[in-house]
Amino acid sequence: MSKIILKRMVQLIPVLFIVVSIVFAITRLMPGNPAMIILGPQAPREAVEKMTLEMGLDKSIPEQFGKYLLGVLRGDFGKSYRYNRPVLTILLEKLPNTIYLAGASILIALLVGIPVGIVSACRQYSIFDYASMLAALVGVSMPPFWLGLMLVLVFSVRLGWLPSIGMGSFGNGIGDVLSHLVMPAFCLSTGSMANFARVTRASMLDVIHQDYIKAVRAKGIGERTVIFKHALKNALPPVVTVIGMRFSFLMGGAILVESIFSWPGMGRLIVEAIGNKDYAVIQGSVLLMAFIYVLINLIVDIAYTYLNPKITYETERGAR
Amino acid sequence: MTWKMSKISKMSKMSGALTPGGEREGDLSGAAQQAMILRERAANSVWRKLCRNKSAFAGFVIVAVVVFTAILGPSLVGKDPNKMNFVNMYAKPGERGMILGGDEFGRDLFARVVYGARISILVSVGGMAIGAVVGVLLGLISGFEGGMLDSFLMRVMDGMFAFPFILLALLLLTTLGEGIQNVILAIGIANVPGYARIVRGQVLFVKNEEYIKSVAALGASSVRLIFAHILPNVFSQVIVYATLNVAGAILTEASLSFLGMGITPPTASWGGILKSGQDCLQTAPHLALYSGLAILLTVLGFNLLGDGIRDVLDPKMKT
Repeated sequence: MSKIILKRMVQLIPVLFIVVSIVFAITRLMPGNPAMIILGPQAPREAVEKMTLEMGLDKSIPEQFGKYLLGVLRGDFGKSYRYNRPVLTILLEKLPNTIYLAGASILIALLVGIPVGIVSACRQYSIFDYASMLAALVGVSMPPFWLGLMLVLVFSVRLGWLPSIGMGSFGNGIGDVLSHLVMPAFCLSTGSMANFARVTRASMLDVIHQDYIKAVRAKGIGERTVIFKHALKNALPPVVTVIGMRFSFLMGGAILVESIFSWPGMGRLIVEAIGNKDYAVIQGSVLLMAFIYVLINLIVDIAYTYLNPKITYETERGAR
Repeated sequence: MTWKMSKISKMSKMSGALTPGGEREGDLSGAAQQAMILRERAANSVWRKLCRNKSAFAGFVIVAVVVFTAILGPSLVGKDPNKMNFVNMYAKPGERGMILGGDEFGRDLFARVVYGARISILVSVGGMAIGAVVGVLLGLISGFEGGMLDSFLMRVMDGMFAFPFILLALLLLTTLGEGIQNVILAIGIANVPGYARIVRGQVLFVKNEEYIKSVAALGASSVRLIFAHILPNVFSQVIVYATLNVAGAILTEASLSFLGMGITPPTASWGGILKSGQDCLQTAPHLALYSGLAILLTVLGFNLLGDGIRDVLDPKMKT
């Protein structure tokens, strides 16, 4: 097991290097002189030249990349010209808000998606199965930003039940926090919910038609035990993989959902940074999102290995 | 199928020879067999299977309507989607001769939604095509060559995969600048890793098949092996992925336009209309409602069709 984890971690190094390279290349190719953008179009030429030297933009591209890479390794993502603060400080302020929103979304998606998938598989070709799979397909196809607007229209504008912007404060009670969280979290969770339901159903169907499940049933063991003790455990690994993959979608979805609900997280920060051409913030936040995604996938890989004893056994046997 | 037909034809000739009725009867039996094979072949064609699959057929109808609207709709509507008339500002659906009402500049929303279909289909199909061509080529080369080249290409693809799709498209668009061709290019580039990974995985499997080894032993060049023998065998996976990918590309285009980064006004795009709908949600909710429904229905159509094609071409993957 530890060998597998170590191997996966070593494999991450080139991926992370490429992620840093892509972010560096894209931001260097963005139009406009960063020094000019910081100082404004009316800035005197001397000031722009001085800023260019200070930022190291006069150096060769490999030199700039080396400096940037060292900075990233030290956790130095530069300074935001708009906020006049270190990018890392801003990111550490916004990241928990996005994790909080994404975590709530994943939780809703898991709590709804997996049970729906299990029931659909157990009652294959029933009305529930058809209805839930159609709903899942609609959920996958629904643009989250449209759903967000429709939720705001109904629950904020028409009914006035829920606040449409911000994330509330614990100082105003848990009700305030939850009322701010419901719409963005639900909006962000629909795609994942639908995806989990579809994958769980497919995986469960695959398992419950296997001989060992028939054998367990033939022993006269109750259906509930068959499903939850024998089938679900073996149907879970593909679902776990999808959870990891969905995290990327959630991060992407957060960009849109946070913009609609004015949620003070990473997604909104990126959109604002792109609008303001705050390159240091763009670089830092994109890198952080990519790192988180890679990390989540590593955790998923490890969880998958843990859940699927076949992998561990084969690897250990191969290692001997 | 040709092999199957010739085999069955041989079998039918054999059965004809054994028939006591002589050669003529044997020929008739062969003709009947041939007709039966053709009937079977027609019944098992991908198209027939798709038609039998109800959800796939529903998806096909939706996609056909949207594509028809995208191609012919603007000329049938007969209204300029960019013509402003402030008298019609925020007109409700059905008012002043406007089926879906008017927007913030009094432009006809129905005309804009119809024109938006053209933009959506153009961008999504264009983005899919760029991603497919480049991704399939990279996947073929990577899977076939293996070694260092494969490792390098796949690590680059892994790196690209580490970015949320919309974020990668957003970044590329920021670099390339606004405009329809750049939106297509950005979505296309962001699509590449998906195709490359799928094709590479398939190539790794197919290239070790006996028939590929036999063709290689007969002296076929690498190019011929890749394009004449491996590519046709990975194509079904690519078609399934491409159909589902168009749905994703429509959502991405709409998302980019919604964020104000995609199609620039006054060009009509579904995401752009939704963005203006957000600003006047209280006074004119129809703006957000109809453009969003258009996106939902189109994406649903492509998803239904993609799921159907997958079920037909690769029943093992059925969900």
